[in-house]
Amino acid sequence: MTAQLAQSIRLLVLEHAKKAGVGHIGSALSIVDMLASLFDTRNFKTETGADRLVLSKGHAALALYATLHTQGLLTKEDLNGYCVNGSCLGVHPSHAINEIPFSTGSLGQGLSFAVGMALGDRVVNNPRRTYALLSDAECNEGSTWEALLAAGHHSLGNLCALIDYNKQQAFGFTDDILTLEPFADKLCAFNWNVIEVDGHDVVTICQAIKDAGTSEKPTVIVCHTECGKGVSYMEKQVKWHYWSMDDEKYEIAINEVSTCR
Amino acid sequence: MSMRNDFIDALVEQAALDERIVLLTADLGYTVLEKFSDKFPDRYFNVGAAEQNMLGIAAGMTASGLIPFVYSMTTFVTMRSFEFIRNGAALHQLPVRIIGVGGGFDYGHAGPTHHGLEDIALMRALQGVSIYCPLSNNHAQKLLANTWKTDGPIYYRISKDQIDLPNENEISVIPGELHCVRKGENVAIIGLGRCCNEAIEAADALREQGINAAVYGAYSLSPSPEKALVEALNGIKTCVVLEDHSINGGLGSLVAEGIAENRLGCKLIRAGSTGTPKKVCADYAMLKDINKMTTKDIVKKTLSACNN
Repeated sequence: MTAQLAQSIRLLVLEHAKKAGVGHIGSALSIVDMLASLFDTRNFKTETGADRLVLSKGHAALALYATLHTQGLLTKEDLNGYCVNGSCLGVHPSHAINEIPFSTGSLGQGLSFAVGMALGDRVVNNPRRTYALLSDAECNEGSTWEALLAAGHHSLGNLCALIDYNKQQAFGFTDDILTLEPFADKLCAFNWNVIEVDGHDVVTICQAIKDAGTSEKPTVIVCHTECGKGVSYMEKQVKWHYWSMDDEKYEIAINEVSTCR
Repeated sequence: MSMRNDFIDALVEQAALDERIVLLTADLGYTVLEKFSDKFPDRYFNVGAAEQNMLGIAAGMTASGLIPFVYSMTTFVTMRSFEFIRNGAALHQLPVRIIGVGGGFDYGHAGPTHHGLEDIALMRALQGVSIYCPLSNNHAQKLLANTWKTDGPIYYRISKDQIDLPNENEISVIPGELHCVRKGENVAIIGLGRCCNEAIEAADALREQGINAAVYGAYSLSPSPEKALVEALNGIKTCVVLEDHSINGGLGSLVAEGIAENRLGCKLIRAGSTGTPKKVCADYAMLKDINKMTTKDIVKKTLSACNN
């Protein structure tokens, strides 16, 4: 079920990245299974008591828009506006959309917003949960570690961060640019409940999201992923952080994702 | 009692009336914030020496219906966290209240890293952020009470010191207004926040030279007091702006824009921090002297302008 949802989201990502002629496809495909798992497990419709999601990894907004569309929260017409003049659906997410609480895209800011949301909910006794989806490159930013410190200190059990650990960033591989290892150990040392999963195994991610709810500490789910997941020529290729598809590449991508079980 | 103490007293009063108020500090305000934390321990958070995260947390807290006040020194709270203010409170127009303590030369002896000389320029560059610089202790308290219902973010630039003004009970707190201390002819002196007192001193000295200068205190930088400026500078030939801030982007710039855009045709003298950054630690008085902002400097510059 969740895998089918992920497949639908992937196809939408490819369709609209092609239509708009823009990049960041690799990043968007990287988090599709995480988003599908989140939306299949939790309720993010803007109503009282619904959970909230901050896509701190803003440059992958297309994956979020596609997911919102599969949930009936964005129309196809809205989605067709992606990167069209005058639309509120840009490369980075905008709070013009109800289900997007904060505009993000400047790396290392979303987790601070999420910490404030979780802390604020504690002050007003609201039982809902806050989720933040981060990229690994955001963990280059000192502000991310300030937010990690704060959440750990305040034992924000109502906060769950999912980190898209695809080990790539704009210019290359994280281990070459600014290594995060030993990543899980660092997060653990910051007083978080750390769960490591295969970020494309939706059954495992869904279970981790459920397990996170039982921890008194904030939970971080380190999702080991591949940038460009689902499209063979994009996987682990740094250039697909920015590149866009020509017709031929698009056909290959759609074919691969469609035939993948 | 310093202005910051009086401001926090007013905040404690307001917090008793409104449960939405929370106070965040980036580990500053020892012996100042205890009045709040003792009374509302569940609504007080020391987030550690992490200003950018504090501004992010504050933005997030508004999503739970809260009204967060964040407290730190002027430099740290506006400069270290600038992009978080821009992308958080300002972009989303959230009711985050930023308290910057010790603007200008208040922390003179702390050295140049602690001189708050660019905070207003930065906050002015953000659209939709209200900026208030109280003229006195009493005025700071009234400002808090009277700006209560503002929807978007507010920056309060609060002095570390005690600042009193003559007849301060009569000072109004209307966003977009100037406080008129006295009317005058040909010359007007406008002081920013605590510099209102120095504007009065300079005007008194000019009176001995036969010049009857008008005196104004500027406390509302955004909303801009443009309309009030046009009225104040009607018939004025020389306007002196006195500010404990860089002359770039602060009150002097605001007045220059007002004069140019409204074709007021008056000469402007901007007295504030100029030149390359100073390498000294010094008290408020000496820093004023170094920056040619003393009463003597103002009188000299004004007389020179009047005679040309």
